[in-house]
Amino acid sequence: MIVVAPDLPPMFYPVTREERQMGSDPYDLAVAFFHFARADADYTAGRGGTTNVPTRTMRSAGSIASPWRIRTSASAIDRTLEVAPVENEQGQQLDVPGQLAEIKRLTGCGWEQLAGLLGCTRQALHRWMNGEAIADGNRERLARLHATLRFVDRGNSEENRAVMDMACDGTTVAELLSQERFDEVRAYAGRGAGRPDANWGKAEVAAPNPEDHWFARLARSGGADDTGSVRAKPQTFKRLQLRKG
Amino acid sequence: MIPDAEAAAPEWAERLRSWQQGDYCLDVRQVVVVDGIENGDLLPAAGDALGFAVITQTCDIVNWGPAKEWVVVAPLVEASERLIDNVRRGTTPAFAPLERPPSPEVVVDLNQAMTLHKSLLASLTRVAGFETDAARSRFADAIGRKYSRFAFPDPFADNVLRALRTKLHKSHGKDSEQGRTYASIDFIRVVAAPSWDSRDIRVGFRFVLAPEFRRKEDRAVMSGVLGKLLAGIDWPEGFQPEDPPFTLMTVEEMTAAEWLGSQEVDLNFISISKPAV
Repeated sequence: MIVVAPDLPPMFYPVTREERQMGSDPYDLAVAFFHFARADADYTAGRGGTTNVPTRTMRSAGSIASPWRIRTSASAIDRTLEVAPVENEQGQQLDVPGQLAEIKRLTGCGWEQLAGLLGCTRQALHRWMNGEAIADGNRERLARLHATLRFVDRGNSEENRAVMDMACDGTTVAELLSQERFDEVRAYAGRGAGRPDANWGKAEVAAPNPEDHWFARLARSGGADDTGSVRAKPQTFKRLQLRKG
Repeated sequence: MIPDAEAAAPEWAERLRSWQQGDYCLDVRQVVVVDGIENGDLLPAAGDALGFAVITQTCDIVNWGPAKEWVVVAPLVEASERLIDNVRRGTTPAFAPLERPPSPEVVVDLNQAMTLHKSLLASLTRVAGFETDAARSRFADAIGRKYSRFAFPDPFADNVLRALRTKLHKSHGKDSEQGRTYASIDFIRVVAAPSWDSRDIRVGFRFVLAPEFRRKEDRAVMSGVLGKLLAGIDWPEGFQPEDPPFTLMTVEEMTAAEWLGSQEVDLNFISISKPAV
């Protein structure tokens, strides 16, 4: 699914997958985002003019491992952001339940907190988990939240929670997320290293025997359960002498 | 005289290496049980058996040393036709089948386990109970189920789980929406809040889906089927369903905390306190 990011600063446009893989200094990334986001805010407010970006950041801006690259102008096509589907660590595409589950894992949030981040009810989340329809707007918001959290992922939920508690101009990252200010979160928090085990080899999982499936066994049971007096054939017992010692 | 486990491994300990969980012996045809106490002394008795199978885990058979001197075995018994049927269908946790039994009607009676010194085991004739790892693994599952399956409170097992089992069994047609839904669920787990020991317990079901390539039904359809399955259950006093009462998830979507914080339900092995009326 392709959606347009309406709040995307006009100075940024997506880089390719190959460009993303080049890698760079996360510090530069964060600083560059912060300053260019501020510059864009000036631009939007009509202040225009010079951006106050440190030289160090400017030098590395072209090779940073970010999904955006700085440029001087942008068309609507340039501002198109691919937000879904996103692949999980096994290379499978994530659907809505998959994205919700990964957000829970990344943030350690409960359903109530996750509902707060997405501006919906806990019941709505459960309906989406159960495969019920989700409005396009909610789906887009979920995909962008998911993509943003993946971007800032520090590798574990505790550090990610610490990032969410960080405040930028009096607003926490969690609040920015719930206000859908995803670019600002990316700018402020920067790209995280992700899970250390992301590139581990994939363990093979043996296919289960269909005959062992609980429902197959239940179907074979003929309705009988374990409460009947089904016994082995009768045993005989003889008294033994207890040997002490 | 019981060998000193502190001493170096005796010569016979090497022979333990050939024994695995599920292997059996036909040399001894008794099982010892205790059926009385007199003046503080146990009154043992010997019951007849066809032999015994080892239920100790394979690594624990081989190891020798202090606190590693014993193995647990369970008698081989001749099962009635109905029992054999139940063991094969997997509806009784009390008996486990062997892949290579001495004769087709013989099963392992997990109710009458006894302890044996390893030096005795090493002196007996071993017969392999299994040919395949898969079957041996199912035997291990049967032992685990017998001794460690979760004990749900009786009112919950007797009312909710039994009702679910009955409803599921009535609708097991493989080509129906219900059949496809149930075949697409690998595990059923339940969560009790605040705990199973509480006075007022809220219970939520987690239906853990098979991987997508093994799934036979659409997630939303499954949700409808499971909603109907849980509707109309007569919840006993002190128990009520969560809101919503269930959720569908894959193992990838489930966190370790959610797995640990829930108990597996195997509707084939629910411990019901009272027989069906």
